[in-house]
Amino acid sequence: MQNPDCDQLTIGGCEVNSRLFLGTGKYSADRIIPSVVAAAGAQVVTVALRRVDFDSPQDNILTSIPKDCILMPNTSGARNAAEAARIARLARAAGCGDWIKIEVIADNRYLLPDNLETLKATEILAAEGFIVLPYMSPDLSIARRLAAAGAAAVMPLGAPIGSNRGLKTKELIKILIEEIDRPIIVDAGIGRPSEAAEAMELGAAAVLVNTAVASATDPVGMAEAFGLAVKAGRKAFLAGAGAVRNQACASSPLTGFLQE
Amino acid sequence: MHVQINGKATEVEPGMTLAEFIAMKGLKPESVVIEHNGTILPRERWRGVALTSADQLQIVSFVGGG
Repeated sequence: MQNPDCDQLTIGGCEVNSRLFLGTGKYSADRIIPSVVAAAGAQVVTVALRRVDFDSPQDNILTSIPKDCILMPNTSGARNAAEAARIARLARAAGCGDWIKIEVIADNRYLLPDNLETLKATEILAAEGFIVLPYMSPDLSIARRLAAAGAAAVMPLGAPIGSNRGLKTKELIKILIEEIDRPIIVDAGIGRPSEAAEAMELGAAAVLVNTAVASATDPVGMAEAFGLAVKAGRKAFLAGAGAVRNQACASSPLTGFLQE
Repeated sequence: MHVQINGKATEVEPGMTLAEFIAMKGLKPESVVIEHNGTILPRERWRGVALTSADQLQIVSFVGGG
């Protein structure tokens, strides 16, 4: 059992003090993001990169993200490894660090990642010194190759992006947690704090949540609930859950009954 | 003169530098990244680059995302 007092998550040489990673998309207004980040206790925060629309300029999202956060730009919009690498290089040129979430998607209905192109992008960008966190469909062979290619963590999906459907890929994620010598971060699909807690109980290193918080009636309240759930799940994992049995096993002594 | 900026033909005064274009659009330099003809240009070089009608620019910034 690990000592909970030394339960430090390290990714790409960075010590990360929160196991809840937060996305910044789909909020009704960017101005609530600081409160959401604070309520979640999140440190790693994702952003996307897009062309500036000169016809309707938007506020700079960076002004809504607390300065002590680690910024993890994603490569959303990339359809292949070359496009992901291009987006990653542009993101790094913004001067906000070396973290990159690789997201290569060629499927518009389910937004499922292209694992092969994701692997290629990981190879390219890890070699260029990025701290690479690939979003992937949970597959053991690809996860092993991602780790070998230099991925700092592996981020399997729980369910399609934005679906709030929960840990539909639980059995496959469990295998990655057992077999892959990298932090496994469940990204996408988690819709409820209980599902985040479940992922952490399984031994996930962290979870990344966006839609579940952003689409809640009270995003700040939901962010806090997720923060608590992630901590509870992690504590439960470290505490080691008892065995599951098919039949009852009495909790009270089976001797000294009054009728004896 | 027209320059391709973010996929659109955009009217730009001849001789205008990248730094001037960004300022004219009211953008903070630290909030955008520029790819000039396929090459990322560091901010300190924007003053020295005068736009031409053959240029292709991508000007990007961070937005909310998951």
